[in-house]
Amino acid sequence: MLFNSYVFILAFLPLTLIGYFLLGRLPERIPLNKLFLVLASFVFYGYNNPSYVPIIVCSILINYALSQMMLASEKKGLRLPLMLLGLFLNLGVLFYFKYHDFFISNFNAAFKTSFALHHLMLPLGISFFTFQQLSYVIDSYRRTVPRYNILDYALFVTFFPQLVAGPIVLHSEIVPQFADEKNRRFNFDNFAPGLYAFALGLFKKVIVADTFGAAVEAGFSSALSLNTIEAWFVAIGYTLQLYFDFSGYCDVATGVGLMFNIKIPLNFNSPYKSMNIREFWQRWHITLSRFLTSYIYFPLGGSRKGLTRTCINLMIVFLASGLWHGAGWLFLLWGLMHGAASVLYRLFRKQYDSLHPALQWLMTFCFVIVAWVFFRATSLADALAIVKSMLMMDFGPIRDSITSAFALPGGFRPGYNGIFMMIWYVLALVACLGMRNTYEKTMDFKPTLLNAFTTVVLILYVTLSLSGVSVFLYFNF
Amino acid sequence: MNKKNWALLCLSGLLGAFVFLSAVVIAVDPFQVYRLATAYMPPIDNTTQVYANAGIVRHYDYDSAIVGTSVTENFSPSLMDEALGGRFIKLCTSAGTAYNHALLMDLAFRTHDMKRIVYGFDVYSYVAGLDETGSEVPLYLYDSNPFNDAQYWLNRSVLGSFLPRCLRAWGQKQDDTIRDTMYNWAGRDEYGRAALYNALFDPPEVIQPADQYLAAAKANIETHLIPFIQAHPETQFDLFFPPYSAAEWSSMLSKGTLDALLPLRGLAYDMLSGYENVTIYDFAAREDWVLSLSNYKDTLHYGEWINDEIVRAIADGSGVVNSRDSLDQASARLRAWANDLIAAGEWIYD
Repeated sequence: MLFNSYVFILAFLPLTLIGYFLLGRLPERIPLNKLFLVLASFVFYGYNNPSYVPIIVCSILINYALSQMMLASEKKGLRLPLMLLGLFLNLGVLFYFKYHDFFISNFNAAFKTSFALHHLMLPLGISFFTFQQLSYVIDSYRRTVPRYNILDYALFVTFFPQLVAGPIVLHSEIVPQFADEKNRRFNFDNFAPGLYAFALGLFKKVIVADTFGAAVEAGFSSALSLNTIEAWFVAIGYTLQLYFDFSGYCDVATGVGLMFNIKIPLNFNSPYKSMNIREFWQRWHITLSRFLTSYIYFPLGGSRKGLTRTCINLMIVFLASGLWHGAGWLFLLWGLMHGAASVLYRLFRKQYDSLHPALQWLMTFCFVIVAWVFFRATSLADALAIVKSMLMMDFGPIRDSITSAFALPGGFRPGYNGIFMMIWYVLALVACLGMRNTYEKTMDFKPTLLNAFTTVVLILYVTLSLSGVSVFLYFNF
Repeated sequence: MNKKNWALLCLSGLLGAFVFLSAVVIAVDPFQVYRLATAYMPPIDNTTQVYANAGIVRHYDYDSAIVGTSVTENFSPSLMDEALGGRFIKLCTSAGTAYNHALLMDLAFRTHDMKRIVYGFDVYSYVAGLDETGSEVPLYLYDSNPFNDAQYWLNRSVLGSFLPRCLRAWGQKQDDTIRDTMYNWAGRDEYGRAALYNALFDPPEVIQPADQYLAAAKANIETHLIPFIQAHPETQFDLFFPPYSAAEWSSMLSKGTLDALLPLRGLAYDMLSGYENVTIYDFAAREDWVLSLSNYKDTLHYGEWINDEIVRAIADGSGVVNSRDSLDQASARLRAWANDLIAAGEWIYD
């Protein structure tokens, strides 16, 4: 089920809230509220394709069983094979669904073989729930986690706001909140900011991101023939689309989480305000960076084994990040670019930090924009053509297929679409660079008539706009 | 204001707005999903056909229907009433697939006692996937689940465009002529040699295998046609193969699809001719029609006078396919015309 759907906004969310808090009135020893929320999350997960549900159920049961065995065992020698089995199973399933065809098609191309491709549908959110559970399996091996009951564990994995597209939450930040007695009761102090974040997030995802998305689609589908102006608008457009799409989705998750009295961790902290690439990764998809740092970078030695090893470790982390985002060479290349930039920053940090802050910001932002081109393009040729166009100084008009994405509802004054487009870009950039982000606004939320009006209008506007089809970019990553 | 009051204000504002907007849409009902429009002229046009059809199929008064793609849109239900008896309605979907047609027939049978269905069998409609439609269909208007109609009540286009259209047409009443005029595109186009603008006479570069679409077509017939025929023995199904111009078959040959599409005619005959309530008509090889460009606006679409002729032919039983052999002979003629046109590299008939 999508957040941006009638069934979610008008039925699933209100009914789940009512059911959860009504059952929360039962004594704590009867945790029907949690059971209800787990079942509701399965409905959310399997709504469009029920065949995914057994996969996640098996994944939860196996990971839970392995973790419990490790937590019960004093001997490291016994825990190690269990942990390795857990790693193997989780990564194996992820590989089977996500990377099998990529690997085989490259193998076939390299060795002129013809092994069959599976053409499997990627189970929803598999990259997210696999990583989330891996963290628990590894922490169980280290015995740094408490034993949870199966219901709490299932809730940590399936809690629907974060289930299909993150943030990648840790058991230690979710389970205790569900265990807290006072969180069983409906609380307006959480519900109000939650509703506000929900409205802002939906608006970012459905209205802002999808408007830029239409222009970006038009631009990338004629990647080979863009002039310099168009190429910049398309590349910046994608930069904006991706941010508003993914951070909007996370804002909705944050908002819905709050409605259930659960604080979901911050995932986007105005990343385009970053002054260097290191800061960017501390602000963009924070929970992924946190996971990769904890479970890849640190185990590899982090920055404690000398400069060379640090640089190699950085590259490994970013290659893993690239591959996590999708099974394709362009994702790897994108990871490589960010890895290289991080290494360069590490090597020349002093010189870089002495530059004028405006120049630092500009360099970081431009790099991020160019790297996103490789992330979005369907072929290397397309990506290179767009980057080349960005540098070619070949100025010309912007084609209608791009500007028409910004047309007024009803197509009024189509001659002014170019101006409407400029207004969208300026406002979106101001929002990214000059305004406080949703999380900040939510955390120090003050109820006013103005934000009540904004909340109602945005939710209403988004709901009325759902008659079209909206594609969520991060689903299959 | 405290957070509780703030939240209650927002929730009541949202609830109020949702209820009010839904009530307005349900009351006006631009697509006639709940009742026949009596106070205004409903918006019925080819561009939003799949929406308007949901109301037409439910609430118009009929006991017979013409089902098919754009080549059936110029039929005149009033003429069909006269020639065939009953009271006809158009259940047409431009570029529709077998699934499109099945959605409409399903609702027609659920809401009406049907005497007869005249069904234009386009081979193109039968190569699609089982749940594939020509354009996106608002299935929420076709099912019997009232809750998913929220997509209709809280729909930006309905509120912003169709409601105003209804209000502008307030006071205009629809009368019985709407059955003939709906979706009718007669008189808009030029007929004659101009029809060749989309014709192909080049030899094929690749040829699709003969069994390319057989499985898909078989599944479509089994899923989207036979269940209606079996469930409604009281309903007469008149299936006809439409008379495309010979240039359409040469274009198929040129694109390499002829070998794959032509067998669908035989397949349909084999699967359907055994039913007592089915009569199959073949107008595809009617020389006097398909070799004369004056009947066509493009290689596929014939003028409305051909629709009228088809009705008369069905009424007097001419064009009935009595055996697989005679259908195959007609198919062979289609192929021969295609071959001749490709060999000539141009239109050679009139």
